[in-house]
Amino acid sequence: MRHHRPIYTPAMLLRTFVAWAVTLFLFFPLGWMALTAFKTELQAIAVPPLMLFEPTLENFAIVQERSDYMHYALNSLITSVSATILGLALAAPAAYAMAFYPSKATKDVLLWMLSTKMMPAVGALMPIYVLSQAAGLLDSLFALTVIFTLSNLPIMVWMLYAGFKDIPKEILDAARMDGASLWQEARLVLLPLAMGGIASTGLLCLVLSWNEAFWSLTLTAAKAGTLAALIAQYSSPEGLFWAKLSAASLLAIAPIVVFGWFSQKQLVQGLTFGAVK
Amino acid sequence: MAYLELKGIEKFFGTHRAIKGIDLEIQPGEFVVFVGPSGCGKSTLLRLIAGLEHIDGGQLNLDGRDITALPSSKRDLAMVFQSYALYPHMTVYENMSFALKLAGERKEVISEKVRRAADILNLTDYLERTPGALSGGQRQRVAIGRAIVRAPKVFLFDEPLSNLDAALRGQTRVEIAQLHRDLGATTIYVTHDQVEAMTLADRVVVLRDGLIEQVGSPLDLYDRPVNQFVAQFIGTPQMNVALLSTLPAVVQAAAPASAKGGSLGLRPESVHITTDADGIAAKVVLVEALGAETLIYAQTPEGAQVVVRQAQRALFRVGDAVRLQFDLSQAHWFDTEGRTVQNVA
Repeated sequence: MRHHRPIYTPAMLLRTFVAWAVTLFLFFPLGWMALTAFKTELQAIAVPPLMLFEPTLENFAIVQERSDYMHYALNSLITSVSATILGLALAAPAAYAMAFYPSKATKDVLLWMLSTKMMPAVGALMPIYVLSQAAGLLDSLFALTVIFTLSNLPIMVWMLYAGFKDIPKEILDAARMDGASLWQEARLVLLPLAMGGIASTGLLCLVLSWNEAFWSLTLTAAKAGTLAALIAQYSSPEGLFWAKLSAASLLAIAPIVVFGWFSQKQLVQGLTFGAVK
Repeated sequence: MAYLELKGIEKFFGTHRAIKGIDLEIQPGEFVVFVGPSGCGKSTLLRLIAGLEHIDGGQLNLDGRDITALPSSKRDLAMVFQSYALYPHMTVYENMSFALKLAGERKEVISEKVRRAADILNLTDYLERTPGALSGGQRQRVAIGRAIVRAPKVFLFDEPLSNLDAALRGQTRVEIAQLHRDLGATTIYVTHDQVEAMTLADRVVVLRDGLIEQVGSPLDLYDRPVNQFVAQFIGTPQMNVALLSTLPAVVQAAAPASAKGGSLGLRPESVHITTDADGIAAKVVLVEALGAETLIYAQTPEGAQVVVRQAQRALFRVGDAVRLQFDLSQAHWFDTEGRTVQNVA
């Protein structure tokens, strides 16, 4: 096919300009944080702000020395991965039932589930704290995993429900006519067709759990603390240490940003699967 | 003994009784068509037989075994869906071999069966493609292929041609008839199109509101409908049915006593345009020239609508006065309840 030179209309140029402006605006705090992480504490608070400086890795060394980064990172990893797996295991059957065998109450149940997300987390702080305490689960990875799972469950059910809804039920009927058991139907037909939706749901749960700060800070201390707790250590009563705080933050978000970058490509592949192949 | 036997089959959706006790016996090798207007329960009845819906009352026997409560996967029936319902993530070969693979069939056996089916259906060149890369007609054939490789006890078709365009529909209809002749498989076919019913069926089951109105061979239904509903459902254009009170005294006089207050039914080919002064006066409302035949829609002064089908072309225009001749030897008489009291002799 012949390629035509693209023609830009004023509207297109304006759109492009606005898109870039918004992107830069949103990215600026993150970019600034990344820069600050490589400054000394003095450079970090310099007025006017320094754009050019000799980068240093000192902050990262101090953060690693003072608080064991790997310990927190591992806690984040364990809780978010477990919460994602547990969440998918619970949400998938629920979404399956609601998408393919809806009853009159299905819409209400979906709305009710979503409504629990409207409640501020702090509203449930007292009961959950007391329950965790009574069960001896304060500062435990188990309690955190359960909380992450439950708080993400409504969104996961919704996303999977939407993904499953796109699959014609007759295809599943056909699988059963072909002799597939429920498990074979799920594994050989539903799973490959819903892979895009399942992957994006899992990814979202992973990111939300990784970034979760409220429950991590209130329910954990040294033992089960996640990276959110690590960051919080650097805004302490001793004062703010911008460079170290930035370094700790950068270390905390780096894994999930890298992960998101790669899984994004996976996701696009997952979504177009079957249509092209 | 019947091969597939329905005894008092019932289905409720909430409090609505959708299928109201169906009794039917189907013999091995028979091609049975369920036909009826939309909402009559024909698709539901098929899904009940398939096991895709739960049977709420009655009993279903297949080949001497009670399968009422058996899951679809264990019934050994194959179904062709209206939407084809192919597995979009599998190739044509994988689609057609899926059931055999689940059944644990050997690879060489699967390959041989799939290739034979593909050969019959002209799909050999497409085995490695996915359904997305096929035309509607080809997908339809894959769906049929998926059913025939399994050699199931009964084939179920749920309005399989309704997504195809008119030309392809006619062609596929012929192919399905041919396939049934070659394989001799017991088949249940659901359609709302009475032409499909007439051309494919050994026996037609006419359904309305979850009940069977009549079961019979296509021509049986055409010539001897048990009531006005079946009479008007089978045949295009519809049978002319007029209340006796809207017809001239001569016609009324010919009616049997039990049709008193009822109606007269005449197929469009049993009404003729005549030059005879005794003919019934009417006015032309519409003329449809179809080439091989011409349909003339006319209205009597009493308000009766009559369609005339004739082989000769007609030069009438809307508003022209014509005279109609009723061939009463071909008359169907209905009582006040719409039941047939007398069919064509």
